[in-house]
Amino acid sequence: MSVEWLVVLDHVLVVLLIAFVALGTVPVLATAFQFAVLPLHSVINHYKRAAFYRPNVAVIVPAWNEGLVIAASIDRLVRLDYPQDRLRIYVVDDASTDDTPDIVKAKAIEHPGQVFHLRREKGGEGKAHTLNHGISRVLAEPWAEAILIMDADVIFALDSLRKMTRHLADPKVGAVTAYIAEGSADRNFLTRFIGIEYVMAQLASRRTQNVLGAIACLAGGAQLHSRENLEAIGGRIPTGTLAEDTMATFESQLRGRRMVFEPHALVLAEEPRTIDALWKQRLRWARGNVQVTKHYRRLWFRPSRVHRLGSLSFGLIWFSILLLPVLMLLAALGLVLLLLLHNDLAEFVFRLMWISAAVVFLFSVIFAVQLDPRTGLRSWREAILFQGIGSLFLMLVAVFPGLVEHYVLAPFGVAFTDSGRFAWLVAMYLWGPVAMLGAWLARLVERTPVGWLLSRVLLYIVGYGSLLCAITVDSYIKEWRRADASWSKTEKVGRVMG
Amino acid sequence: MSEPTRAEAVAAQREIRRDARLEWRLLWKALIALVIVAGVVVLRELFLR
Repeated sequence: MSVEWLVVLDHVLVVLLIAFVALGTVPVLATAFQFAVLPLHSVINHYKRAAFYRPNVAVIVPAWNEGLVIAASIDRLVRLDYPQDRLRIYVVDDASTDDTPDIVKAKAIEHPGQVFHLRREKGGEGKAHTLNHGISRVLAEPWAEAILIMDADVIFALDSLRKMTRHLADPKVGAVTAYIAEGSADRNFLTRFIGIEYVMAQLASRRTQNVLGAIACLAGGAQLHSRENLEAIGGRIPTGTLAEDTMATFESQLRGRRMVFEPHALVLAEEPRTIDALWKQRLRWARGNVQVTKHYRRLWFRPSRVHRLGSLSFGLIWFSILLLPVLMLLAALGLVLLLLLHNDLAEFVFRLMWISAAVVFLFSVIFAVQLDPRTGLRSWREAILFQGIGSLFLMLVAVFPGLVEHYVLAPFGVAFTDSGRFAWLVAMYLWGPVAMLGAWLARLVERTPVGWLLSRVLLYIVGYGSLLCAITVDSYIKEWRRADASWSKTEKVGRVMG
Repeated sequence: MSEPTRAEAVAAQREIRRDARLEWRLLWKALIALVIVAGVVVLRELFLR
């Protein structure tokens, strides 16, 4: 091969590798886009079309062995600031084997005509089947004008339901969802991370989705459907995937109905306290999202006059989360190969990538903690360390060139050798995939006697974001292997603040 | 079935307007985040000089 051809090949390779790194920056750009659009919610929101509206609401509570939480949930529901004669509660007992049926029956006697116990003798088929049992009963009667689907453990703020119903005054709105906040009374590092995640994913991201006109998912713990909307999607929650909430959200929007996120309707939920429990819960969600992506494969990036799910902006948001681990791997691969070909160029691209990540991260975290100051105050450490100490260090290295050489090594009279510098750069460029492995390790060591400390330290180093990425990778593998997709419930023990 | 009173309707409309007004605070919150980021960028430039 002639020298000219080698030069051309080198150029092509360099462009390809830079494209890999650019793809790795897409999630950062998607976050920047979402936080740039977010302030527009001050002008583009649904409040102009909201109005005083108190429909008859049937609350459907799916319950399987919820003896520890169901009484408090029912008590809270009957205390909601909502006309009590317009509120009925249907607890769908999914063949519970604990004292759930007795508790619900006692509550039904205490609140005659308002609390109902529906029993499924064959349980364990999944939440969608349980919900559908209740929905079919509710829709069989003309009474209900709206149906609230919730989880047995969540606690609604007293004004939350009336803040949701006001959006249904607009007949174009099919469903409304609320802000599900992490509400455990006994918080630990993991629940604090989840608290920050919910602020970012709901108070920030779902407001942006309100502006863009497409909602990715109505929270399973609080989704209020109009009767017409539920009937339009067949009078049932779609089954067949692990993401019944997302499927219902998509089906509603495909029929031209608008979904609204109401940020001022607060619902507290109990979230997992261990990495293993979180992994199982999120694996179900992530696999559900993979299934939804495949199910609606003809929808993506195809704009429609009926809905906004096919818009470029929504596709960008959806796939930047779904493909985050792949994009991260591509960026790492691109950087390491660039390092082998052109050392200087690799360093320039690396710095550009991490400087943009640092700016977007700083802006989004400062913005997010202000959205829910209570969560922001109690979880400020987790907000700062959301991406992990490792990523923060890389941001500092990118923002302040020569930081390690001049301020860490030089005071000790140490300097990088060529091979040492090469190894150091490789380690930095591979941080994304390494952090995912670290998150996986954090789950493994959690079961050991000192796991409570080791897993915590590891998670702070690799970051909560890497944990979610690692779970997404696991979801790819499980889907690819067609692993058992039976529905497993996250254990709830009634830790939500009253 | 209880019928809503006029007072309830007025209170509800007032609550909607209040929540809509609260959304205007997003602009201030964005501005605060922007100013802090800009401050960090300036500090970085000063540090690197």
